[in-house]
Order: sequence, then structure tokens, then C-alpha cells
Amino acid sequence: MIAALVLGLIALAAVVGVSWPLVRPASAADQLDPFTDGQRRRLALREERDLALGALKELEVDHATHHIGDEDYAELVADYRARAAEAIRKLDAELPPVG
Amino acid sequence: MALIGQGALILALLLAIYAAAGGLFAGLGHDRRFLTSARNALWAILALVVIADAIFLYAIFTHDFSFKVVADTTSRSLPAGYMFTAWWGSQAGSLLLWVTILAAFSLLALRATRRALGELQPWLIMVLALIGGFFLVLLVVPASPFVTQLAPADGVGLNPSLQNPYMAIHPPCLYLGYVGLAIPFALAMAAMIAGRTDARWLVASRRWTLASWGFLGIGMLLGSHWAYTEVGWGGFWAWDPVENAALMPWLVATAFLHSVMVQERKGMLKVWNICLISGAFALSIFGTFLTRSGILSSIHAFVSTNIGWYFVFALAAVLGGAFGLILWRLPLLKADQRIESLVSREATFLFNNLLLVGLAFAVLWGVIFPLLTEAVGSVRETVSTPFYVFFVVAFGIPLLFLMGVGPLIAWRRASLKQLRRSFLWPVAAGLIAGGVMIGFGLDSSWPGVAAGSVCAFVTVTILSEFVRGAAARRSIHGENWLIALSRLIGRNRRRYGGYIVHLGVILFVIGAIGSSAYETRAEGLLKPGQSLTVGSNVLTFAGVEKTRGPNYVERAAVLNVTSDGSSLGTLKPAKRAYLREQTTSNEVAIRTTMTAGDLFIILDGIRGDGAVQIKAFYKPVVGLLWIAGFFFVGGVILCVWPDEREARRILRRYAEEPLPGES
Amino acid sequence: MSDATPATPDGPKPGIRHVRLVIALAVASLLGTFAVYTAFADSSIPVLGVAQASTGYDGQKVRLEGKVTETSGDAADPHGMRFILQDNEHAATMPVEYHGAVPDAYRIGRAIVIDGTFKNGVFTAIPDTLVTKCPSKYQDKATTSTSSGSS
Repeated sequence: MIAALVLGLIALAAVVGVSWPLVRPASAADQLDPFTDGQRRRLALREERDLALGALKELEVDHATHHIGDEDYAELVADYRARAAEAIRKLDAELPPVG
Repeated sequence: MALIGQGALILALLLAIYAAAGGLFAGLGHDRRFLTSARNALWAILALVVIADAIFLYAIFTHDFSFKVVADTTSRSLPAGYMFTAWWGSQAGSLLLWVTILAAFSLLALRATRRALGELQPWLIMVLALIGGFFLVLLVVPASPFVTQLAPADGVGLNPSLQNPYMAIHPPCLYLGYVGLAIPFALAMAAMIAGRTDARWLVASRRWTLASWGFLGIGMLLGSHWAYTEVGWGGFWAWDPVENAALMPWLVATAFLHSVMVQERKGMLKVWNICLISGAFALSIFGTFLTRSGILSSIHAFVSTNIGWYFVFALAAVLGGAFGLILWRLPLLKADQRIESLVSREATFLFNNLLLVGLAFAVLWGVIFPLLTEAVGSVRETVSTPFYVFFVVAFGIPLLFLMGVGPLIAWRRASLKQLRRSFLWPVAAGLIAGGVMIGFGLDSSWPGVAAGSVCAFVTVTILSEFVRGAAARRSIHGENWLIALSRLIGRNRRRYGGYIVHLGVILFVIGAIGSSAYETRAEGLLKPGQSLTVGSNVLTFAGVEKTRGPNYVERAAVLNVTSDGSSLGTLKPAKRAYLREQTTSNEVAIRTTMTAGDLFIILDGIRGDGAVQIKAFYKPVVGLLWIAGFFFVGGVILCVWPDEREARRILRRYAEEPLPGES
Repeated sequence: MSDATPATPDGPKPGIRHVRLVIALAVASLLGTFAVYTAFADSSIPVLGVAQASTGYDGQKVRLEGKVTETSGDAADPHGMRFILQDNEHAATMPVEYHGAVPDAYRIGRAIVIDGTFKNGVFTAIPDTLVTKCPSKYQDKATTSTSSGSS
């Protein structure tokens, strides 16, 4: 029957598809490197930087739409700018200098 | 044929076990070969499951009653469209649908996360393969769609109430929601296993959660519409366990959708978010089982089926696994920041979460109450509508209020002076609305007045958000109103999509209050010529009309409707006798008007002497319930719509340094 | 990660304690509402099989489960419908008097659920609370039509 044939073909294809990647021995290109600690740190720093920058943008919108008063706005902007700067500074310290 | 179908499922199960192992090896050994192998296994699973679907559907359409499930849910006289929907008309068939959707979603999720979440892929495959494997075990052992028997001449047929377009789309819609929650759950588990606690998994899962939430919500709305028009007792939600089964994960998912915004901005509520998504998925498994079996109606019912214990195992595995992973990764899940002020959007979202989870818990309590009382005492007790309505009102009205407060309050800290300015018009609107309602005598229901006032408050808030945002754009960019508005929405899709959804909620609440707290009803026995008055409508009974349908005989009571003298047409509530299925169904007559409401008429019975028992309701603004659905869909689509800018921004973060795990 | 709210030498800033207190109060009030309501509101009713019904529930509102073995009369009539309900597992039976809506799936042999009180050996049902239960494995909303509008 057609259905039995199709099933058999799929089973065969499955076995092939599943075992084919394993047939060859592991090479360097097959390494799924986990993030190194350094990469994790830098990713976290970038995230913090982007979070601060995003918050600054949102603050601007909130201020323009009068959700935030001038005083609070100034204070929060200064705080987020400081955070972004701190994150960027730490990032720069980590990465090797361009050259 | 059945054997081949069963064979396909068994093969799929073996491949699922392999895929889980492959994912594990790929994750532990950081070996891409196992990852590719496992992913190929997922493709094979999809193909096999689709074959099983095809065989199953073929059996349905060719009336192969040697398939027990086909015989139990279809008949030769069933209209073709409903033959297709019989796919999910049985426990086994619906589990087959579940697994098909899961297989497809798993591959989609893998594809979507291959760039920036490569490290999570092995674990993602492992978790998804385990979930799929579990459902495949159900399909192979206790709930096989391919059980055969000696074929009877004809099948039992589909319950006539299910032969309705809404009931056709409602289950698949819900399943897309239930299964969809598996992806964010798996991403959360994978992130914890891999020790990745940045918000990347949240961002990746956001659209899945939104889409699932949307499907669950629309599924429930479709089910409610079906209950209103087809089951026809006059209501749209009966607090039945089966209905609550979809409501609970939806409530928790709603909480999750809000609290992820807090984690994205402040790096807090990490543990809470993982708990929420695990709870939502656990509840969706709970919901799947609840709908498919009566196992929670009593302890006896639970132990008398074999599927009950599988269900307990699944819940234990999901909750236990999540809990264990949280404990293991607790040091990594510490909050980056704290809530600084109660007058902040974070705090608002936190309270919103507490109320939503509280409501979900109350509903859960009501659902398992019979089991609890039976286990503790000897008499089973149950709760009904008043219990649920109390909590909906007690927790729901503050929740509604918060919905209006949230947009007005800034992140981190809002200044009270600004708040006073922002709150002025909305609060005024709320008070005026309350006053107007009382003036119209609507204070017959105090929850109604409270909810109505809060709805006015929230509506003004949301509309003012659109106005203020567009005004700000105009002053900065000098655009005209239309362009400013469309650019505003286009550049802030999540925010304004969310506001549109909130507007939908408001419409729903108004429709719900109007149709329940403020309905009028009348009933009576009418001989030809006699009338019944409900509200300002007069229904005059003209006689009984008999018609024949494809698989039924219908007897309708012809009612001429007038209001203040002018004719509003004829309504014909009816009873249908389905020949094959040997049941009768009630066909209610509804006259809907956009502005006023519904005239809802039930034919309770036709007496031997030709007199009819009629029950009639006048339900103001009930149509808003269904219109709200369009707002939900529109808002969700807007939120889910791909945002190239945001995607580029996030990818840039990863492209700044060559990272491994890219495939 | 920089901590946005540096701790003072005496511990976290008072503002934070204040926030935590309010959150704790919120949780407590939600739980409290729940506890008080479930304890004091008369929100639940016992669910009994026909066999259990005979023992001391006179006058109390209960929910009765069983299957219909005989039925006569019209629920829309002033006299109402009378039917015999038999326990789902045992042989015990109980006569029931019912007025109100009858779900589509109602028939002899069908398992049903109904609310009411016992009086002199007859179960007097609350109107419109008759709900049919699907006997098969597939428990569906369709069979629980005309839900109880009991309040």
C-alpha cells in the first residue's frame, strides 16, 4: 500500500537524516562553544548599556508627553547617562584596543 | 491503515526520545553534530505526525468506522465541513492535533532562535522533544486514534451543538494558544540550563507569548459566542471547568506579558517571570486534560480513567523541573535593580500581576474545589457562578483601575504633580460616568456603576495617550495629525498595540456588565395571538412553523416583534430534532442591534395543544463583547508585527563581537 | 551590575522597606479577601449521589447527581415535570419535581445534575438548574447547556 511505502521511506529518511551528521568524526567546526566568561560579561555590559540608552529614549518621550516633570526628568536623565557611560567604560576596558 | 498510523506514531515517539537525548549530548558536549541530528529528528517527527493526521482524516472522510474514534464522533449524514472538525472531536484526535502543532512550532522556534540564541538550541530541542514525547506516549498507549473495532454500519455522529461554525474554529484556536505557551516555557528552561540569564530569552519568547495569549483569548471569545448563540441559555460564560481551563493560563499569561516589561527594563522579577511562564504552561497542560476528560469532577472519575495519572506526572514534571532549575540557578537570577517608588509603572505592573495571579488562583480553587472537599471530608462540594463573580468583581475592578493608571505613570518614578495633571480629565470622566449611570437608575448594580466609572476613566486615559503622543510628535517633527498618529503607532507598536488591546478589554467589560447586570427578562406560556413583553418589545405568537434540514427537522415558534407600535420583524426560536444523533437542540432567536442591544428569545417547549413556552431577554450592549474581539486581534497583530528597527538593534548587540553558537 | 539604590550603612534605604511593606500588605489583603470570602460566604453546595441523599440533608440546598429512569410531565407547565433519578452506581432512586428549562440532551438514561432541596422524600428542584452530563469520555460544554443561573 502507498501509505506503508511512504511510512517506510520516511523511516528510512529519518534514520539517514539522524545519523548522517554523526557519521563523520567531530571536528573543530562542530564545536558549539559556550560563551566564555569574558563574552558573557561583555554581553551583559552591552545589554546594560542598551537598556540605559533605551530608557533615555523613553524618558524623552515621557517628558515630551508630560508624564514626567522637568525636575524628575533631569535627575533620571543624569542617572541613566551615568549608567550608560559606566557600562561603556567597562566595555572599553575589557576589549583589546583597536589597532 | 490503522496499523500504519499507529506505526507512524510509535516511530515519532522513538525519534522524540532520540531528539531529547541528542539535544542533551549537544548541550553537554557542545557538539553541533548532535544538534543537527536532533533537529533532523524533529523534521522526521513532523513528517510522521502529518502522515498520522492524513490517515486519520482519510478514515474520517471515507467513513471508515472500523476506527473506533471515527465511529464515535462522525456519521454518514454529517456535513462535510464538520467531518474535518471531527478531527478534534475526540480525546485522541485532539491530542494528535496538539502534537502536530507542537512539532511545527518547535521547528519554527528553532529557526527563529538560531542567530542569537544558538547556545540555547540544544536545550530547547531537549525540552520540546520531552514535551512532544510525552504527548506521543499518550497517543501510543492510552489515547490512540487508531484503535480498531468491527465496523458498525454507521457512526454515532457529532453532537449537534458542535455543528456550528464557532465550534469549528474554537478548539484549534485554543490549541494554538495552549501549545504556543510551550515555546516560551522551553526557552525559559533552556536559558536556565545554559546559565544565560540575560533577557534575550524573554525578547525571543515575547512574540510567541503574545500570539498564544491572543489565540487563547480569541478562542475563549469564540467559545463564548457559541455558548451565547448556540447553547442558548441566555449567558455567554458559565464558569464551567472546561471554560475555566482556558481562562487560567490566559490570566497568568497576561501577568507574564506585563512583568516581562519590568524585567526588560530593570532586570528584576527574573524568578517571578520564570514562575509565571512555568505556571502558564502547567495550566495549559491542566487545561488540555480538563477539556479532554472529566477527571476532575471527582476522585472517582479521576481514578477510573487511566489518563489521570499521566496528567499528574506531566504537571509534576513541569513544575518540579522548573522549580529545580530555579533553585539551581538562583544565584544567577538575582535582581539587578529594585523598585524605588510605589508611584511608578513597575509598581503598577507588580500590583497588576498580583491581582491577575490572585484571580487565576481563585478560579483554580473553584475548579479543584470538588476534589479538595472530597479528599478532605467525605462529601464533595462545588462552587458556582456567585463564587467566581465575586472574585472577578473584587479583583477585576482594581485591575481595571490599574489599566488606567499604568499609562499615566512613568517608569521608575513619576512626579505627583504631573500625575495630578494627567489624572484630572480621566478622573473627571469617571466621576461623570458614575453620576450619569446613577442618574439613569443603573445603581441597581453597584459593581456595574463602579466598573462603568472605571471604564470611563481608563478610556479617557488611553485616548489621551494617543493624543499626547501625536501632539509631541507634531511639536518635534511638525507632522500633521494623521501622519503623527500613524508614525507614533508605527514606531511604538508594542505600547500602542497594548493600548488597543486595553480598549478591547474596556468594550468587553461594558458588554459584560450591560448584558448581565442590566438585562431584563420575561417568560410565559403563549397561545396563538397572545403576547409577551420584555423591555419595550412586544412579542406576539403567530403559530408553529415546521421545516426540514439536511439532518434534522425543525419546529419554530413564529413571533412578531413590535416596539412602541412599529414592527421590528419576525423572530423564530426553534427546536431541532436531529435524526441520526437522536437528540434535540435549541435554536435561540437573537435580534442584534448595534446601538441598543440584543433581544434574545428561547423556545423552552411546545405543548401538545400548540401553545409555546417562551423565555425572552433584553440584553443591552451585549454586542460590544464581540466587537471587543476585533480590538484584541488588531492590538495583538500590531504588537506581534515584526519590527525591523528593534531586530537590528538587538542583532547589533551580538554582532559587535563574534560570538559562538551561530549556525 | 550597578545597584541603582545603594544601601546605606544601616541596610537598604527606608524607601525600599516602605515599598516592600506595601507589596506585602497587598499580597496579604488579596489572601485575606480570599480567606474571608471562602470561610464566610455561603458559596459552595454539597454534591451528592442519590444514594447519599437520604442521610440528613433535609431542607439544605444540595446538588444531586444521577441518571433519569422515568420522566413525565412538562417542565414548562404549572405542574412541572416529574422524573425518577437513580444513583449512577447503586440502585437507590429519588423522585424529582422540576420547573424550568430542559437542556437539549435530556432524555431517559442520561446522567444529569440538578440543584434543589429534599422535602418529605421528594427532591424539589430549583428552576433552570437541570444540567445534563455527557456519559462518554469527551466532556464538552455542549452537554452542560442551560447552566445554573442560581445565585
